[in-house]
Amino acid sequence: MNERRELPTRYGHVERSVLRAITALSLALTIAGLAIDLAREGEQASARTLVRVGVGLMLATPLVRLLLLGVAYVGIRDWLYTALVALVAAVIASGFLFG
Amino acid sequence: MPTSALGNVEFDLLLAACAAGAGCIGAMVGLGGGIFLVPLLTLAFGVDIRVAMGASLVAVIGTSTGAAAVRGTSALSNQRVALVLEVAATMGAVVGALLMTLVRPGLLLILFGAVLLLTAALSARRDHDSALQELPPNRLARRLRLDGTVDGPDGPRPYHVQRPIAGIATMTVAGVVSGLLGIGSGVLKVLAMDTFMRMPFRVSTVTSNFMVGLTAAASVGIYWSHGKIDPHIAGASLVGVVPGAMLGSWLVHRVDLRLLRLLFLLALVGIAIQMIVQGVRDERSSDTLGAEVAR
Repeated sequence: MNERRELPTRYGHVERSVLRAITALSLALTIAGLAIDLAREGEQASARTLVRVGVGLMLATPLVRLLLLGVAYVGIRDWLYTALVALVAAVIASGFLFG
Repeated sequence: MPTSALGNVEFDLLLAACAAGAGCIGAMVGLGGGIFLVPLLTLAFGVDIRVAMGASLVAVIGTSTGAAAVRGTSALSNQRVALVLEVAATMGAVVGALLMTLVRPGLLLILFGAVLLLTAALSARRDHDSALQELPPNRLARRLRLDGTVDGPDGPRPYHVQRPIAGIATMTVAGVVSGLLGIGSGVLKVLAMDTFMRMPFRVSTVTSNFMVGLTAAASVGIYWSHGKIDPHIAGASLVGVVPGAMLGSWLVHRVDLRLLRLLFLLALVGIAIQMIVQGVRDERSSDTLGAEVAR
């Protein structure tokens, strides 16, 4: 019952690749939005949207990490930690939903 | 908040550059960029402290994610300990963020200054690296399968996590502080794991890096809902702090950190005093204003 099953090595590789992609996309969108806003020196709705999406993507990364971790725990049939992942994700989501 | 400055080229570039410096130094001394970013935004740029704290939370998430994107979640990181402690930390962060909406800005400045002083004191004592001792297994930690192994000079060595309840209690406080003041509370997290739970220092720091992002995410939704995440300020901070933290992570093994750490501690104390003074001034002026309105 108390046997400790380790997460597969593949989890680390997948997590790093996914986070790299999201970080790069988030920074690219944010920089593009700020650059457009600065270049046109005014209230640019499209520029603001780009910055919002870029920042929003970055804010979503902890939930993405939890999702990947949850999948990894399901993969090794560690139900206690699958439940803990779900609980932490629910608390984080509650901040966005009921804040 | 200097809304008149929004969209200003100099403001954005200067903010991104300063955020890069904050992220770099934060990563080199083992803290997130938030501890520098909030004082920078409030004292140097005149941004409302709640908006500064919102930008800081975004930066904390960016730093945590950026580090994992570069290095990946280290094999040293104890994910099970992180999850058990994060249940308490995220709940604390939600409470802290709700408190943030009630506390006056002047008082927030004073509290932030006090937490900076505490951070300086705890960082100063982190010079020691606790030697890995053979400790007996803890019953609850064993049931939760929290024990792990760490590489030592003679190969992998097991460690037994101690006092998980004390760790959970400290993490609840760390969560409240994180939500209330918009910081990662990494110092308190490392304190809980290193000192109370007797985990190896290196394991505590890499596990803490994963945790600060989760704790910040729990309160950032409340900041967002209350309009305290200004996308422009948060965006400019983010594009600075993430590359800065990556640079700091790369530099940390290439420079002598002793002088840097000493300067950092002195700077932290100086900034803390400035924030407390500014907070007391704000509180006095709001009291005076209140008295005049009452008259």
